[in-house]
Amino acid sequence: MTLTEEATAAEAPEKERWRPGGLELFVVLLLVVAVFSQQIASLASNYPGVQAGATIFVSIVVQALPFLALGVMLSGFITAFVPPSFWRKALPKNEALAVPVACASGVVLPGCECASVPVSGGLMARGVAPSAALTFLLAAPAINPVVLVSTYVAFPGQPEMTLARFVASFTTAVLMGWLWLRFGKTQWLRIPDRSHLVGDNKWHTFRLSAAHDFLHAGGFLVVGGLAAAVLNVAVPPSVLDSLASNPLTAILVMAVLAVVLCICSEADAFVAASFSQFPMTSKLVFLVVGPMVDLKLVALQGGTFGRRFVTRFAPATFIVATLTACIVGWFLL
Amino acid sequence: MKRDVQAVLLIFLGTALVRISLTDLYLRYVKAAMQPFLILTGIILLVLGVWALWDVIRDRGHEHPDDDLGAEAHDGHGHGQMRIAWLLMLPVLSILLIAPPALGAYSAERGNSSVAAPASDLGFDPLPTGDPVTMTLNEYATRAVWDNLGSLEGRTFELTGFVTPVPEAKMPKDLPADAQASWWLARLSLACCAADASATKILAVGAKPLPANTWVKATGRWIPGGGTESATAIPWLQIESLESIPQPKEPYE
Repeated sequence: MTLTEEATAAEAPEKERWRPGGLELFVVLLLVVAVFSQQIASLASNYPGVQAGATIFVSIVVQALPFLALGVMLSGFITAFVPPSFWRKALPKNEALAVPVACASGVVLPGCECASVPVSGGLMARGVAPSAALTFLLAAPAINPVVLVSTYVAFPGQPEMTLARFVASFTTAVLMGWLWLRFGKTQWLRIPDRSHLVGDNKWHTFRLSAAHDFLHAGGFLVVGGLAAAVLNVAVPPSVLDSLASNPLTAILVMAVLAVVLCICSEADAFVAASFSQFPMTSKLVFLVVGPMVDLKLVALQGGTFGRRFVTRFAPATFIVATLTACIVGWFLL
Repeated sequence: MKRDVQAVLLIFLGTALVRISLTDLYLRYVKAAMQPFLILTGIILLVLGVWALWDVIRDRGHEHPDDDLGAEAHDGHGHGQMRIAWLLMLPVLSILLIAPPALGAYSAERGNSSVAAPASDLGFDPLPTGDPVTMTLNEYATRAVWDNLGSLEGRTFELTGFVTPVPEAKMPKDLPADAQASWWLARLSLACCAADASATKILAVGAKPLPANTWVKATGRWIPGGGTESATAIPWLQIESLESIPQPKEPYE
């Protein structure tokens, strides 16, 4: 195949989305920064705020990447080696009963939220009841072992935070499943297709799925890390101190931050812990809301299940998650 | 994002992680305990990247127009979702080529000093022998703020930290007229990563002015002042000698 033919083949079906020479762009970016790295570094040193922001950004990403890599490896493994029919057989026929079972099975899937959107879409496509699949969608990223361990690590000496996160997230996911069962309509949903991630054999599927999920979620992690770094440097500590001093505004601020910052559930505990002046319950709200509703998830869910779905599901989840976290925090923290 | 770029990006990100974790650079961002996990993650990404690149090369000979990007156009996932992966260039470039420095005086000055009360109220162990006694800033500050039996009295201490200029508004008013002080001896500590860094600050009394972020080994005696039994108190140290040192391998306490 000649170069022109290749270009035409790629360009024809999607003219506006084809990036001319992605690899070349990559190399040019790398060279430009390599040549000017001294200048960039010395320019940044004149602005200690920018420099501190860069350090915080890099450290959030570096801290989160091992957790993200573990998550996509395991979810790739499950995607490739656990047959879809397994989930259908494992779930009870009774839908109301299937919801908590799906929630519990979310405990064993260490995908981050970006991975669980396609997985739950796949479950629906293979005949799992939407209520159970949606419960799984909310539960898997919020209460899997990787997330619980990272929460435990991020809050040293406060194991009750991990317990509270588990209880509040589990409750929210089950409540949302039952709400969907009672009020949800199938025509709001569009069932996704993940066929391009099925490879020649199981290991190939594993590779495709892990690499895709990593790059996809990693990109959103960068967005969250940038936002957190900018907030960390741009917002004077005194403003956060005053917002944090009132329990009600603290809860609202942390709930909104969870939506805006879009941090992967495997890493969000570290960010929550960094808001040291905020009360514990508001940090719990952050941890419960974040993996279930945030800007990147709303975008992902909208892309996967359609807009009619996400405009109903996301606000409802936000409210249920915030209230549940407040109640659980009241008792446990 | 095309498949070849995906593969190269994974390889570069893996290289960046392996590189910072085999040198001391990673200690600017995370705790030492993360090292094995960072190396493992780097290797996983390298393997995924090389594997993906091998796929691309293998397919080059065949008719295979339907790459990852092409297929995504048909699955209704919304608009070019893998474009988001381009953002991973940011950590690749900043880790491999720039490696921003450890947090310093800017962050220490902004944050409140946090001197947590000791976990048990059984009192403090006796100070180790030695003259001067080498301590972390946090140990010194904890004793200065929370030990009401005066275990610090009459001893000399050696503390390592960096210079953080004291803003006019935060200079204590009750400083004796003959005492000079213009900076805090500060050190940051991490619970997890640099995003949650918290500062320990000690007022260097009687020290000559030094530029911000200068790392020093300070020897001095405890003098009362700066407040007690409060997590935000900033205790004092009467400086006897200062030695300028390079930044320690582990910049955080």
